[in-house]
Amino acid sequence: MTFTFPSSVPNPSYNLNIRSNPSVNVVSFGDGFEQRLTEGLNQNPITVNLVFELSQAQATTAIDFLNARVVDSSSFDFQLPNESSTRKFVCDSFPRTIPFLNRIKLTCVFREVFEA
Amino acid sequence: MAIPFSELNKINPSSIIELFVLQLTIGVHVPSPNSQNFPTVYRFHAGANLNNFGEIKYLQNSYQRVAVQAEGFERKSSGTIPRPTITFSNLGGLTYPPSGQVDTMSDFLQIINFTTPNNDLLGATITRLMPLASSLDTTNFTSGVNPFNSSVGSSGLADRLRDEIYVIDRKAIENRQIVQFELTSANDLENKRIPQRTVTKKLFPAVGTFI
Repeated sequence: MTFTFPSSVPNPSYNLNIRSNPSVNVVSFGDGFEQRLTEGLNQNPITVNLVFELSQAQATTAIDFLNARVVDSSSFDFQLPNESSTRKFVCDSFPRTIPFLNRIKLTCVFREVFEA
Repeated sequence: MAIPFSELNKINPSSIIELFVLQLTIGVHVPSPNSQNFPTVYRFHAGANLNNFGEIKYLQNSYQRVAVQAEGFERKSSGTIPRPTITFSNLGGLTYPPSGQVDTMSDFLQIINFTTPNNDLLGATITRLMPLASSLDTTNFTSGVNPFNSSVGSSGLADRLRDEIYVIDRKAIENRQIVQFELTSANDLENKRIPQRTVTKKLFPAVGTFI
């Protein structure tokens, strides 16, 4: 079953951090001639640190959704603010702070996965 | 099968795809006669293709997406023969074709052990195929064209690195997370000797009669 991150939750705040960690075997000898070889087709997953500034109701929606994904261990589709298509992610952690009454700051770490 | 030298000689050859084929033996792992047509060949790949993350297809065969890792492969001319290990996730995700049921590796071993108690897949053959992405069928790509080699058709290319064929020698670990098997080459099995049968003049009268 495919899940999509709730659209009622506003986009994350900017200054988000996207990390790529491509898996490439590099062999470099002598004068610097090198060969680069990857293994597998999906070898460049990204990890994204997102901060959502939400109202209490929006935070409840997002947290309920993420808790449900913990329960069923499923991935979900999410579209990053600067991209035109969705990617599949799992959420490794989603701690939250409450800076003001009825305001929630939700910090998420989304890790990309490659699955149908 | 040919080794794709021209692709490997490039500065940035296309990815190596690691595929595994598990071959069971009728009478040992599967009941004999195999009247219920239990499959004896299982194909695995620890990944997905670029066409909506479906199963990788190579030479028209689909490879199940299973978390599997093999290590310890090496080639040497002295010392002991390498004994690689292959580790399967034991959290599920293994499709058993007759029922279409998704099982754990422990469940799969239990099915095998119905035929030979305590067998745990011993003696089954594991073949490691390593084609390059440029040899994969076009069905693995969303556009219907292999971006690493536009001349490949829907049947793919047989070009790949040399196959590595090993036999499962023992189950090393089985816990809730993983099942690990130790592999060995066919000539390093217990109670197997080379030559398997000594050539004597009594059995083969022509032995020693010509040079």
